[in-house]
Formats: sequence, structure tokens, C-alpha cells
Amino acid sequence: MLENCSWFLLVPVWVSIIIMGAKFLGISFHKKYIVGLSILSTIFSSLYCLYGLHFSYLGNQTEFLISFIKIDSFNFQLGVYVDLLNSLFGLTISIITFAIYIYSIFYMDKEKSFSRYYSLMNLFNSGILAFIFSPNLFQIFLFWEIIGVVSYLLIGFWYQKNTVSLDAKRVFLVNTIGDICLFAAFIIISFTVCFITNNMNLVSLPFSELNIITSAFYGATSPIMYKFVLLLLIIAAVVKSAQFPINSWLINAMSAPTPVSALIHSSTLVCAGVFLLMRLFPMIALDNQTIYLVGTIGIITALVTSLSALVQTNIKKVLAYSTSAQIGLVFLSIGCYNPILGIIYLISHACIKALLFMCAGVVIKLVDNKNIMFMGEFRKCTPVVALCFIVGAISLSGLGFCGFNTKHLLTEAYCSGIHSTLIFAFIGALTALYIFRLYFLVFENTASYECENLECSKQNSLCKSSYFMLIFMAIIVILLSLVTPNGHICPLYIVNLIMVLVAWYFYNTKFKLKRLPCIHHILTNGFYINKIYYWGEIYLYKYFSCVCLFIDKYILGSLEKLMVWMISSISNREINLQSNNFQSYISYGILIIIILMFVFSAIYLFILNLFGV
Amino acid sequence: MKNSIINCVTAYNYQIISLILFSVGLIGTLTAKNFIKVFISLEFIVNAINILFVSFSSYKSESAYLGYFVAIYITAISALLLAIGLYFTYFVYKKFNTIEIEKIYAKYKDVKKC
Repeated sequence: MLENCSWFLLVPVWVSIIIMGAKFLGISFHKKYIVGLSILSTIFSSLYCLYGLHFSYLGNQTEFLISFIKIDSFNFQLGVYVDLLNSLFGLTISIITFAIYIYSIFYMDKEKSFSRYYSLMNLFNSGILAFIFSPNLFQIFLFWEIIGVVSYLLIGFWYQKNTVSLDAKRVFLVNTIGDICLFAAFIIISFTVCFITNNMNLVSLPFSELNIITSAFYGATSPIMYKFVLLLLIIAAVVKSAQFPINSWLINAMSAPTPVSALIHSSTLVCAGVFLLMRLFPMIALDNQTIYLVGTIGIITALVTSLSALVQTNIKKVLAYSTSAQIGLVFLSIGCYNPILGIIYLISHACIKALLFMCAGVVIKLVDNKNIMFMGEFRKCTPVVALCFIVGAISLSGLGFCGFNTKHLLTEAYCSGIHSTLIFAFIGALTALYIFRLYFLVFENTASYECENLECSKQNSLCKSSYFMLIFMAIIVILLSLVTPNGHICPLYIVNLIMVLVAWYFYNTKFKLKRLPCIHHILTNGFYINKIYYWGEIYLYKYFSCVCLFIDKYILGSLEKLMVWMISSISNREINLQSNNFQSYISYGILIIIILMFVFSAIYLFILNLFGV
Repeated sequence: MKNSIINCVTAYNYQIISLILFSVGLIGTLTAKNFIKVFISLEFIVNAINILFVSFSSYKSESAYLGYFVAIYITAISALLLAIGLYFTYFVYKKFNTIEIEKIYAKYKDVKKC
């Protein structure tokens, strides 16, 4: 039954092709058909994931493969691999995508390129589903690239604006670094494994035989080489999931429309890196140092980005930094040898973040401004949005619903000493602080406009549809709390409650904190990581181009001049057959004699050859 | 001492010397500005050929001293030719009053009958 229904996963691709093909031929469908088809595709994929969940709940796995390239036993295969991890992720993604499609009707209301948006979203949906259900590392790499490309196209959706297209280009170029590392790791592992086991069926590194691959690769390489390859994989995951050294692309990616941010850069694309690590967990777990590195990267990211999120004035940047931080905590859970906890955390975080982004999108659309200093009093204008935002904020800071369970499980796994407890408490406090700062500044603060002047009072039905989706996501967040395992209540989270009160005090009332100028600037600019990269790129480009100029002008230029001299020195001479001394005639004679010597010897040898000597 | 390599002078070495001397003589003939230098270079060539023929005496042949005979014969003949050449230079000098080849050629073009 699963085998026959695997085409469900291909429906989004067909929808995308239909929409774009029709546009190419000049037919433009009405909005309702486009949206209807997209929603149908998400319903199909969620049904498939539900059935897959039912099938794999007890730990079964199955796969259906098509040969992509086949030369005797050298076999690159594409297909579908159904597993518990896969089905869970697929289900969350399908549900979030469903909500985003309906939400987009409201957000992209007056958009001219409506069909381009929906076709790209469908393409992305199909890409991420194929990525998640991939049976081997080859397909993972293939769709890793594809979702990177589609993310570039979606970030640059409003490409007519210069900054947006530059940001999109930058994001894509940064993601290419991860692609290169993943490709290199794939080639190295594939080659060594096939070389050692002499079994070309493993050339695409299927996950059903991960044990063989791990043991073969571990045995075939020296410890340093093993660590190097795992480092490449970790770099790929770090780049894709926006962890510490390379987290600035997520800030650039916030030039995208908000539904795109909600889907891609909070729930799905940034999960791709961690998904890779979870899939290859047996390989990574063999080495202590790599697991330690993963955990360290996670906790450092969480610290750095949480600090940066405290002082941002753009809603989406706060949420972007928050995404980096939470994915850092997932890295941390992998570092504690607990990928299952990571999965649960990831799923709950995806739903929470999607909810928060959707609320932010409504608010942005109503005020046409992303700066929270120009917002306020939304609790009176749109109480539904405020309620949903509170649900998300409570979950994110670990005080209730599904965030409560997951955070407490993570505390159990990680906090085993005074230092780890302190750091984790600090991060949790920061989380509560920045998210409730956002709530109080946006929804409770005094505003300079009247509620009735906002758009929402004029277009009731569209707003209501978005509200329905917000409520839908909030309900999902609440329901997830029933599904996730309960952790012991930790007294640590009183800190978070205190932080909520702190946020209320400082951001709601008239009392304003004095800004520490130095620290404030560092945090606002995201610890200047972005600026360091820009500076480095400019200097690299400048000096590299100077070097290239030098080589071109002096080394290659002198080579050219040499060639020219060599040929012109011969061609510019005046050959005089008659000269004013008899010795030139002698030299001509000797030249002819030498030529004749060669000719005669050649004839002599030729004749000897004829006679078979 | 048993496995040591002993270098000795072979016919090959004589032939190399002959080649060097021949090339010296050749270059001398082709780039000489002085009339007499040409004759001297010709002597170089002849002596090189002599050495070559002498080196062939180490090869297996019916008579062991053929090379030497040829060398003596050629020496004599070259001496004769040198004498004739010197006789020739005397008349050239009398006519053109120089020894340098380029000036002779220039003056030769002016002379209508020679």
C-alpha cells in the first residue's frame, strides 16, 4: 500500500509544473484553483506521512527505489525510505505547509506574481519531502542543493528591490560552502567504502546499510581522516542550520516575504542540517571528539544568538536569531548522545516558530513596517494574534505546552554539573526575555495610531482566514504537549518566569533602561560576524585581484612578449641569398649536405626495410 | 678492487676530439674575415679527419695500420693544397691590395674583367 501511494509525494512537483507551465503558455488560473491544488498536495503528503507513521511506529522501515544511473552493479538509486524519523518530520512539514498556504492568501493578497509564489512553494515542498524521505546520501545531497536553489528563488521573490536580490545572492553563495563540504564527504566515504568492501551496491550510501558503511569506513581510515570527514559533514550541517560562525545568512534571508520565512527559515530548511546529523548519527557517535564539537557548536550558537536577539528592532531578525539559538539546542541534544530528544525538540520548535512568524507577519502586514518601535497596542486591535503569540512565547520559553516538555527533557539530558546548569539557565532566561520583550513592545506598548485605521477592519474575511490558521497552529502546539513525553519539572524555569516579569517591567511601563553603548552596538550588529565577512570578502577580493593582475601583466605578459620576439626575430630578417662573402655559400652547401644525409639515410633504411632486413 | 670500473681511452674519445676540431675548423671557415684564417681553419679540418682515420685503426680490419697510411697521405696532399692556396693569395693581394674578404668582394664587383 505504501509503495503504491509513494506518488503522493510527487504531487507538489506536478502542481508547480502545472502552474508555471500554464503561465508560460499564457493561461493564468484563478487563485482559488492554485491554492486548492496546493492544499490538496499537502493533504496527500500528510496522509502519506500518517500512514507511514502507522507503519513505522514499532520501528519498521521500508524503501522503494528507482535506479537513476546503473552500470552493472554501480547503482545510484533514488526513492523513498519510510522510517519513524521520516514520517514524523514529514507530518509536521505537511501540516505547517498547509497552514502557510492558507495564510499566504491573506499575506500575498495584492501580489502580481501570485502563481510564481505558489509554484515555488510547491517546488520547495516537494524538495523538502524528497529530502526527508531519501534512502541514501546521494539523494540527500541532490535535494539539499535543490532546496537551496528554491530558497534562493523565494528569498529573492521581490527581486525588483536591489537589497533583496543582493541578500538572496549572498545566502545562496554561503550555502554553497556547505554543499561543497557535503559533496566532498560523500565522495570520500563512497569511494573508501566501495573500495574496501568491493561491493558497488553501496556506492550511493544507502541508510538501510548504515552499519556496514560505518564499520567499513571506520576501519578503512585513520582516526584523523575519519575526524576530517566528519568535520566536513558537520560544517555542511552548520552552514545549512545557521550555527555560530555562519549564522549571518539567516539574517540576510529575512528579506523574504514572511510566509517564506515562516516555512523555510524557521521550520524546514534549517532543519536539514540537523536532519543530516541525525541520519548519520551512528557514524558521528563513534568518535568522542566530534560529538563534543557538535554539542559545543550548539551551545555557543545558542549563547551568541540569544544575546544578539535581545536588542534587535526588527521583529523578523529577533525570530531569526531565535531560530539559530533553538537549532543550537538541538545540536546540543545530539551532543548528549540523544538524537530522539533532538527530533522531538525540532518538531515542537518548528510548529512554535511557524506560529510566531505568522503572528509577526500579520502584524507587519497591518502596519507595513518591520520595526517594533513603530508598533503597539495590538492586543486591543487583534486579540487573536496576541493570544496565539502568547501561546508561542510560553512554549518557546519552556513555561507551558510542548515547549515545557521538550525543554525539561533537554535540561535532564544536559545539565549534569554546575557550569552546564548555569549556561543553560542563562540561555533559557535570555529566551524568555527576548520573546516577551517582543510581546510587550508589539502588543502592549502605547501606539501612535488608532486601531480602526488599520487595514484589518476593512478586509475582514481575509484576516479571519489568517486568524484561523494562527489558531490552528496554536492548537497544534497545545496538542503536541500531549504527545511529547513529560519531563520532570525543573526548578530552573523559575528563572524564566522571573524574566517574564522583568520584561513586563522594563518594556511595558514607562521605565526605560539605559543602554550600555558598547555592548548594545556589539549585540545589535550580531557580534559583527556579518561585518567581518563583508570586510574579509572585500579585502580578499582586492588582494586576490591584485595578485591576478600581477601574474597577468608580468608573468603571462612576458611570456607573450617572448613568443612574439621568437617569431618576429625570424620573420623580420631579410634573407639575402647573395652576400658579400663566399663563406655563406659554403654554409648553404653544408646545410644541403646535412639535409641530404638525412634523406639518403632514410631512403637507405626504407629500402633495407623493404627487403626485410 | 675487483668490481672497480677502469676508464681507458678508447677510439670513441679520439672521434670526439676529431668532431670538436672539425667544428672549430668549420666555424672558422664560415666566419672568417681574414683570407688566411680560412686556410688555417681548413688545416684544422684536415687534421680532424686525420685523427678520425687514425682512430679507425683500433677496429678489426685486414691491415692494422691502414689509418696511419691514410693520415700521412692526406697530410702530404693538404700541404700541397696549402701551397697552391698561398700562391693564389699572392696574386689576390697584388690585385686588390687587401686580405679582408668583404673588401675584396667589394672591389671585385668594381673590376670589369678579372
